[in-house]
Amino acid sequence: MMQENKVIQAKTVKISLPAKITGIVFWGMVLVGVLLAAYLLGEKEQQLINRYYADVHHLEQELDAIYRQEKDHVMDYPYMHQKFQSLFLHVSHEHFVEALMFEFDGHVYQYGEMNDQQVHRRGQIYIQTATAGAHELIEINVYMQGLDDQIVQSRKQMLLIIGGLVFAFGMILQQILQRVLSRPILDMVASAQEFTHENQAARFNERRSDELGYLAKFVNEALDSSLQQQRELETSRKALIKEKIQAEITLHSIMDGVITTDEDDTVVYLNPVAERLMGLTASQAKEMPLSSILHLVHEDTGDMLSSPTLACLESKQVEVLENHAALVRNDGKTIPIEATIAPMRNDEGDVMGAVMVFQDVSQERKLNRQLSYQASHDVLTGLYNRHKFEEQVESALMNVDVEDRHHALCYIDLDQFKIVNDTCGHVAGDELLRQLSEILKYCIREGDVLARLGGDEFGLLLENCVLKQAAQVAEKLRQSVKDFRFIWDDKTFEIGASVGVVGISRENMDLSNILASADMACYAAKDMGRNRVHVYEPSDVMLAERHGQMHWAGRITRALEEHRMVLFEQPVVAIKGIEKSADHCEVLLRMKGENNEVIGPDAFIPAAERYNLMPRVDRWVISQVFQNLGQTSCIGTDKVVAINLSGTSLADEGLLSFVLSEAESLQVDLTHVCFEITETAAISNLSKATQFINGLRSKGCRFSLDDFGSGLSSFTYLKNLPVDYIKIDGSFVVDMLDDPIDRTMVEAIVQVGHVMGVQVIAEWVEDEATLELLKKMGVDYAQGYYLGRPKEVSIVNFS
Amino acid sequence: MTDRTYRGLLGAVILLALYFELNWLMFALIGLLFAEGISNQRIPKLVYLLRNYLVKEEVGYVNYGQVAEPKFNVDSEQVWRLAVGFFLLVSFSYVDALWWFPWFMGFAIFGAGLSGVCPVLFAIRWIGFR
Repeated sequence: MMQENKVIQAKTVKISLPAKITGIVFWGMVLVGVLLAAYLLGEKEQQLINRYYADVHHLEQELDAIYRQEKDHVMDYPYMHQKFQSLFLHVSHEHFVEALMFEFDGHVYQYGEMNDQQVHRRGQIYIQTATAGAHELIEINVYMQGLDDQIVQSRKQMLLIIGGLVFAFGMILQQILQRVLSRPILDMVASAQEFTHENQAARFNERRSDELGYLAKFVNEALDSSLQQQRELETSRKALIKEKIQAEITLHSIMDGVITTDEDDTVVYLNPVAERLMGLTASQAKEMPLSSILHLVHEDTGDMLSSPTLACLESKQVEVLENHAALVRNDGKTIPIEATIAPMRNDEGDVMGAVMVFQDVSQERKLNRQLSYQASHDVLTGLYNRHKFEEQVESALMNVDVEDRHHALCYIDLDQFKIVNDTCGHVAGDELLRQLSEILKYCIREGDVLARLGGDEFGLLLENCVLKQAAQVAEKLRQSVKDFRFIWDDKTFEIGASVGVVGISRENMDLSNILASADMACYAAKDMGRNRVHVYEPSDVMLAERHGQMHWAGRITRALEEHRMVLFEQPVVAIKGIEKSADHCEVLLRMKGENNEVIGPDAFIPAAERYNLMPRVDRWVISQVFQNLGQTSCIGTDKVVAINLSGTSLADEGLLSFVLSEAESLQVDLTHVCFEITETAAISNLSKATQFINGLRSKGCRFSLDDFGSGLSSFTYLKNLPVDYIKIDGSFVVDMLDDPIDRTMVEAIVQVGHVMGVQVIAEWVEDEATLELLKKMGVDYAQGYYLGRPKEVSIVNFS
Repeated sequence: MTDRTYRGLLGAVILLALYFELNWLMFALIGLLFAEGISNQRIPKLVYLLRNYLVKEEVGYVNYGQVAEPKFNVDSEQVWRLAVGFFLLVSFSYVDALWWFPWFMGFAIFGAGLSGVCPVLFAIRWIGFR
């Protein structure tokens, strides 16, 4: 404890450097003076003592010498007295003798004054007298000062001399040291204090040429360098602060959550978005391990996910959070997030923490789910679509090969669906499909895959199901559909279903083959009278025929690619008082086979319609016709070229823009173009057909309603279709001479058409009698072999 | 008057008294020192009171420092006077053996006054006096 106190005191009692120098010098001199005084005083005292005791003997010798020198005058008292007087004066001046007295020859010789304080000492001398011729002993009395007094006086003088000298020397030395050492150091201290007190211009005195001058110069340079570094550091600090503020503002402003941690995964920073997403304030999160406050789970399974920041800190690599990660907020709410975690490294490359950037992807995930759902599901029924169904079938095919399993595929086509659509509209048709989808779902197992493949076509994949059981399931489905009654407004419909079933085994593993087989089986069921189940058999003759139609799809595609489609034209002749008769023609399509044989449209158009190739075919025809029209001068003529359009093309929303674009690019005057659409196609796509017709009629294009009279509702729809011509179905014309009903039908159509301001065209005119009758009926145009057979458009010209 | 000046004068008077063998003066000084030490009514303080200006106890370059928390609540100058008086008295009591000590003290005190550095005073403060 005492030692501790000493330490404290040593720390608190400080002595300045000048005081130390003064103290050391001055008290060093005192010590020297004391030692010197002790030594000199001892010597002096010994000398005094020796002299003191030698004085009597010295006096004896001096007296003896005088007597010897003056032996002739020893009896002459005055003379000797004078001699002794001189001797005494000399001795008393240099020695401690103060008085002398002796007797000789009856005379008393006395010199000096005697007192009680003097020391009386005696001496003896032998004198040879001249008269007696013998020696005489004389006793002398010597009176001397006291020895102690001598010593005291000597001490005083010595001490004063030594003290004075030491003090004088000490003062001189102190002044010298103060000048050469203390004052410069104090000046340096003053400069340092001035510098410390915010005067950064203060500098040490460099004018001295000694070490202190060098030291001052060195310190000044160090100060300049330090100030320069300080200014640079200040500039850097301000720049860093600016960057820090900008970074913080940026981090505060961005829409992503940002969390930074140190190397121990302790939270250092959260931006406001991170606070909002986590449901924590920055103050709550700071200093906490991120893994303890960041709870991540798998969005679908709810399984906890490991801390991505710990993984990042461990791997020292950028980590990306898995796609289905979700953040569990502090309040328990789950937010889907995407996150990237990157290590933060210092300038030496060492990892000093991690930064996690994450976003709320609730909307994106929802949209992705919707897109994914829409990509794989039918919007109307909620069942899988064709694409997803084919994926499922392919997946089933894989385990067939590996595990030797047996699956089955059903192709379901509704009967009488078109009736519902035609009579009650598409809304009713859609509702029917929705209700039937629910019914079908009830009839299958949980793992079976039901999909809507097209308009009224459904597919069913029965995994781990042999063909016999699949047929039973198909029958159950058919019966359920059969038992179902669809009610719309005041109408009740009975629906049927034709089901084709095909087995999936190692022998039958090609997806397109399986689907085609199922389609063929379904077609066979329809062909056998509809509303039945047909199990696919490769040897089935009917299916082989159907297979042939499928074969046509490939041939059509190849023909288009290999430019083997050709155009024919057949004249449509004006027969009602119009002079020029060859100003109207219909373009007909033919296909050249691999052997260059010409194939009629009846052979490939049904296949093209079934396999959705007609839009492509129609566009090809339009392009070819427009190219020819563009290179043929039709200006000033009434030439009209009729082009047939299929129902599926009418449903193509891009067809209108395609026609306009082609006409513009090929510089075709659309007043010379007439599109023929069948009554059935127009009715099936009434709204789009009306939109298409109106769009092109405004450009001068004309429209003809083909095969008019074949449908039951022809007259009703005629009111709503803005057409220029109606072409009477050829079946009425060809037998008109013999069949009064057909003749009446033709008359009725002509009358109605004229009443509505529409010109009437009769086709299939094969003889003169028919032509004459048509003229009488007032038909405007006639077309048929009698008036002109179709011929190939071999040159760029329509006759 | 400062304590430094006081010490210079005191040393000089001691030397004069010794040189002229003025024993009465020495005893008077011893009495004065004891009186100052006991009462703490020191001559520099009294002069200050008389002249009413601030006493600068430490003048020049001398800095003994101040003990932040002194162990003893007694002025170091007070203790110094008692110590000097005591040593003078002892040396006078045994003058045959310690005849040199008053001389030494006289020179030392005179030197302390001239130099402004007094090791005894420093030692007293180091011990813990105020």
